[in-house]
Amino acid sequence: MARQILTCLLLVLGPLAVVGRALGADQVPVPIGERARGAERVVAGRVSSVTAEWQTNDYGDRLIVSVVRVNVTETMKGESSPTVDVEVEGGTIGTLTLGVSDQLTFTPGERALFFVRRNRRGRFVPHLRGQGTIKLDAAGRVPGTSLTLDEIRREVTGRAR
Amino acid sequence: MRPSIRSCSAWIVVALIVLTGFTGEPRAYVLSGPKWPQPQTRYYVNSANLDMPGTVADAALRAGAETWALQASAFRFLNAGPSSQTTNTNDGINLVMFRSGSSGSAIATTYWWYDGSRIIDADIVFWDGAFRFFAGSSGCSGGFYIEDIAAHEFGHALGLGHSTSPTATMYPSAFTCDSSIRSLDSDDISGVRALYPPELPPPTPTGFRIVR
Repeated sequence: MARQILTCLLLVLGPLAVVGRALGADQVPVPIGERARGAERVVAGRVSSVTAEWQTNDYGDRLIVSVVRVNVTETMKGESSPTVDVEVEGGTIGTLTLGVSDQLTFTPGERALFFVRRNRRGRFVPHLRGQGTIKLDAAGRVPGTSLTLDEIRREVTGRAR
Repeated sequence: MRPSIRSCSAWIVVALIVLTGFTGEPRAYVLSGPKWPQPQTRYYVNSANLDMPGTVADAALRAGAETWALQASAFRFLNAGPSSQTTNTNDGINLVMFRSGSSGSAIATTYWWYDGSRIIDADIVFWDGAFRFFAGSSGCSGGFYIEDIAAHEFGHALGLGHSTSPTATMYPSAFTCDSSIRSLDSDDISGVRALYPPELPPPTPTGFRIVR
């Protein structure tokens, strides 16, 4: 009986194992420590407001950009300040919305970590685009993972400087 | 003792039920929210790039775009021809282009514009200054095949977000030279069909009629 079950399971599982695939696409994962090394500031905080505006970037793209104001609760790298404004591509003006595949969207009240650098106009933008922002849940974990704020802090403070 | 076909079929059914339960997440795909009002749209290509002749890049982009029509029969991107445009904005022109700049760790980025629940414009930028691109399915070294990255980005352009399934084309990160992304996962197909249900097949004849 056991042999019969095994034979049948192999018939089912064999083809599934063969068609197993690797990962999909649009960005190369960068370790937390490496993200911190390249960032001018790394802060944790709560989003207090999101204001969308039209901007033309260095390439001449006319885009909607959201200015995300963060009430900083912890500065892990760089100069500290009570708030930081981070400009993130995408947002809504009126009924028109721009979505950007490698950027997160934010709403007031959300907790997040920001790895930021200054752009040519001196405004803060996420370092490494989408990988420069990490959302946190109420327990201080990265949603959908087991990664905690404490672990990120260790990575950042241990390798950023 | 060899299992009989009948008893084996029963075990296969049981195994599939168990497997479905263990693999969980029957719906790992994520819908961005908006969708095109019709199941097809046209796009233009500025194929000027640093890595290969424009015609080769154009063919690779077409293959990536066709992925969704050929493998899921749900949405079709129609190549509308070449473009010399180098900027991306909400102008009603869906554009795919290469940009000789870097954008952090992003290999490519899709920008989609929508008004209410209707997508009205989508543009795709390949970050050619940061990564080397290849076409076809061999010869890649330390870069990415356009066909695979395009399949993923066109998925965004039709309204899919990032899947949580690591085997999906719409999973957010990639390994260099991976040529498996161009093959849609069942999760990708479920996602696109949730947005654009495939047209029903023609009705099967129920009887024969002899026409003389």
